[in-house]
Amino acid sequence: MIQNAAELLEPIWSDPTFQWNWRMASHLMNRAGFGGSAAEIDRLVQMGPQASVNHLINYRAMPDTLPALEFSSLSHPQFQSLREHRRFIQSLSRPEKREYFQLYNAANFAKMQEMRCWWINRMVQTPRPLEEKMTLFWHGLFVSAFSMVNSSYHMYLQNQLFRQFATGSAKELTVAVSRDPAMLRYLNNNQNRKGHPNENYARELMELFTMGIGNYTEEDVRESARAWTGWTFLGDTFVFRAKQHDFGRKTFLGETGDFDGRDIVNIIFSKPATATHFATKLATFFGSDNPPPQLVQALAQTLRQANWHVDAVLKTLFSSRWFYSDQVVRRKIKSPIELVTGALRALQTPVANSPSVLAGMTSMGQQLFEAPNVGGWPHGRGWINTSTLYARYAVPLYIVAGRPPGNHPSAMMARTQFSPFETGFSPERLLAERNISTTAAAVDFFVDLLIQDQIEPKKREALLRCISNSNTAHDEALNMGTAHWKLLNLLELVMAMPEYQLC
Amino acid sequence: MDSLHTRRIFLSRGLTVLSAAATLPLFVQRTAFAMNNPHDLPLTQAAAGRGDSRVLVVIQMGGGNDGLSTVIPVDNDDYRRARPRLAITQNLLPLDKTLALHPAMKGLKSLYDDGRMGVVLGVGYPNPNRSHFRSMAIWQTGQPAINGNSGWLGRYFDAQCCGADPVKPDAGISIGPLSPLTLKGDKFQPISFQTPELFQWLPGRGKDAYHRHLHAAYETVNGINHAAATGISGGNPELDFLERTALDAEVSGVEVRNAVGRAQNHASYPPSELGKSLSLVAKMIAAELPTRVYYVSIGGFDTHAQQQKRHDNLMADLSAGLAAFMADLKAQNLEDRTLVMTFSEFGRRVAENASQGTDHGTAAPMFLLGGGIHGGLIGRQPSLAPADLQMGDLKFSTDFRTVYAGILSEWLKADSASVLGKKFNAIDFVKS
Repeated sequence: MIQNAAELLEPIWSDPTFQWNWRMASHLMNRAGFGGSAAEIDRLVQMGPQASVNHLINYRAMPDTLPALEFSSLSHPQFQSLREHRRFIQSLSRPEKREYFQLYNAANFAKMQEMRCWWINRMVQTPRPLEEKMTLFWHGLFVSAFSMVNSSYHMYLQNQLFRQFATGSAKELTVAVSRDPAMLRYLNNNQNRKGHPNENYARELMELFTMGIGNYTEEDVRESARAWTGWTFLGDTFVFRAKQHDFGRKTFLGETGDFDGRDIVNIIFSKPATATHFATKLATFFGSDNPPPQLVQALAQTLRQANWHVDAVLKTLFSSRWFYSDQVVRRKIKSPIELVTGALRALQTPVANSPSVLAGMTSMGQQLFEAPNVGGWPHGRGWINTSTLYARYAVPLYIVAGRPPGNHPSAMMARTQFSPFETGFSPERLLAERNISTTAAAVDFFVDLLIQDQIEPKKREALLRCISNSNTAHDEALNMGTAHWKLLNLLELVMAMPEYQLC
Repeated sequence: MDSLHTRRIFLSRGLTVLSAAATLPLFVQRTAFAMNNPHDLPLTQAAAGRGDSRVLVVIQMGGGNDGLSTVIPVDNDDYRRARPRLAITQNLLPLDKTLALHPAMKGLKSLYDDGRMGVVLGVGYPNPNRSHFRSMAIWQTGQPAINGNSGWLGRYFDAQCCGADPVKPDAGISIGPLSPLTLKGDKFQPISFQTPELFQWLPGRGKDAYHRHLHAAYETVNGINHAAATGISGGNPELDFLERTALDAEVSGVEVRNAVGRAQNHASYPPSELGKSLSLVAKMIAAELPTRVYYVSIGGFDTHAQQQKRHDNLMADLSAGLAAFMADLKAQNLEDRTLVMTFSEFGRRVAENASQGTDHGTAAPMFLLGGGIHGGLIGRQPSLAPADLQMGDLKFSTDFRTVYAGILSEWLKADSASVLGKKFNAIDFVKS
């Protein structure tokens, strides 16, 4: 096994024995995005590895054709200013006020639900998957949750901020996040005032966002909190309130001065621990759960040399021998969002705007805009327990097909919490596009598409039996009369394989 | 022992259900042994006759429960001054002259009067952390000083599983989609499920031939039945882990659904999440699952604003749920071997805030319930006098690890020092 960082990060195409094929192209699509349809993977196979990596990284060359989210139903066009709006609310009687806020809260919540489906759909439909994948990365690192922020619009602004900085500067994003209304509210910096410091943001900024525990003292947290006093927001925008800001001298990570938030970020980014922290997060998210330390150090150096621009690290990573090695390929347990978006993308179905989709996400343990705590989502094996495993085995196809699990016209099903909804999913169409008309070819097509690896012969036999009309493992012509239900059963089984949990 | 090696051993012994590795709960392994290999019957028999074994039920109250609105100071000027709008002064349910239960807790009050409820006062830990995330992790791991990744009950399971004796206490069961850190050991993983109906692979849940056929295929692709379990994993440890969890889920799912199916509730529960979860736990205890720890999580205690009505409802639900649970156990003669413990990650600030709520605080009471304990007040209530507060918060008077030590050493008969990393004076509340 190669241990040397330089060799691990060598471009894979300098290795003459390397074979760029369907499996490797799928791997790149899984990690740099959300998987691909058969046509997309075919295209990458033809482009070759170097062009594929460039194509994914230089995503701005492709237009973003997907619609923005519309917030007019939540805005108050009749008011010229926030002040006017506030006056209006003050003018209401108590019962009127209650009614007004009930309406507002319901609309706000509905918009949040719509936004979750909107984002899932972006992941599924976008021609720029790395942009959305990095947006998800930042969302999982710089955590804010709707239940605390309480404004769907602020969550949207934060999401757009992550998208804007997707592969850009980690340092400039950190400054921007420090001014972001959702973050200011989530970590209470809007309550951080001179003489009454609130340390929440100052602490998590170092502990979870940029450095990691052990690289600063409690005194550094207190001093940093003073520097962030007066950083708050009004309406939808950041404001600096000089009267609430502590202009006194602070000593932070060994330096002394009249620091404000910007200075704190500069000092944090002058420390080696910070580059290591971001490199570890990137290598873990895109590579494997335990990246070799020497590789992380090399990526940290790349990040500093690139002036904190993340695309430099991603390009090195996606080109590296390590990325295409057995230590990385198919060694990662998919997050629920990867599980679902991967299925939708591969099976070419847009996500339905349905509460059932979101209920399904909750049962697998991942609701967008609602990380369990400021530490973010679990990863790897942390996603799996006996409850989530059954959900992961049944929910993805439910979201794709809109059919309750195990549903079949010939079978009596007890009622479940899974209600049917329309998605337009047609497995027959996918097969027709590839001129597939026999059971064995159908099994192999879906296994290649969804699992992208060899499976044990006994497992393949079980899949074959399941779509055969004669309950045998022989290859036979697909009976178009029963194919729809048989193919749904086949997909139910493929998605209930441990192999499908990996990417 | 790696799982492939284990699989081969089991294969050579002719088992048709393969138990994978140490993460497989032992009660599940024993079931598998008994169902599939008569030669392993002694194992099952050793496990039977555990009807007298003790059970622990942990209730996690997420968000930080307001201890001062749960166990309420009576005729206390400091309390009334700190809580001009939130102080509860009417219809109190007295515990002694100075403390009373929240007016909505009539069910718990009668358990207290019966001597079946202990109230541990002022529970906390040094250098209290006011972050939900961190403080919950401290309570779950029992390790304030380090960022541990195993829970105190997980380590208890770990400690029980090693050594020569193969029949050791069994894994914990958690009701809900998450697997709490409290129950995670280095070796053991708890079983989690939301409802018995969802604790199975749904596409194959019908009883007709069509679904049986589908389910057989499911077992094959998950390496659960004999036919496919050749142990070929290609050396991918993630795949091994997933297959092991699928096997855990399949076998314990059958166990749990059978248990819930054959047992009955003998009390009527409130229709809340807590009520539903506790009615399931009571059925599993009654069905003699050898599981020793059950875990139920409820939330909604983070009452920063407009606290009163929400908190009243939470208290009413907690009391009604626990009272029904205890009545159910009593009717089935199970209350003497069941202990319930409640906890929250912290209490709340003594003074109310400007939005008729309370902010994150420190020490708070814990409840212990059961027929096998000495009821009453345990420890002492921290002073609410402004001079006695620390940054506006109560100073804890009982370290939560002394409660854990009591549960571990007196109730579960385990070595508490090895689980908690050091010797704590176990609070003695268990009837000998």
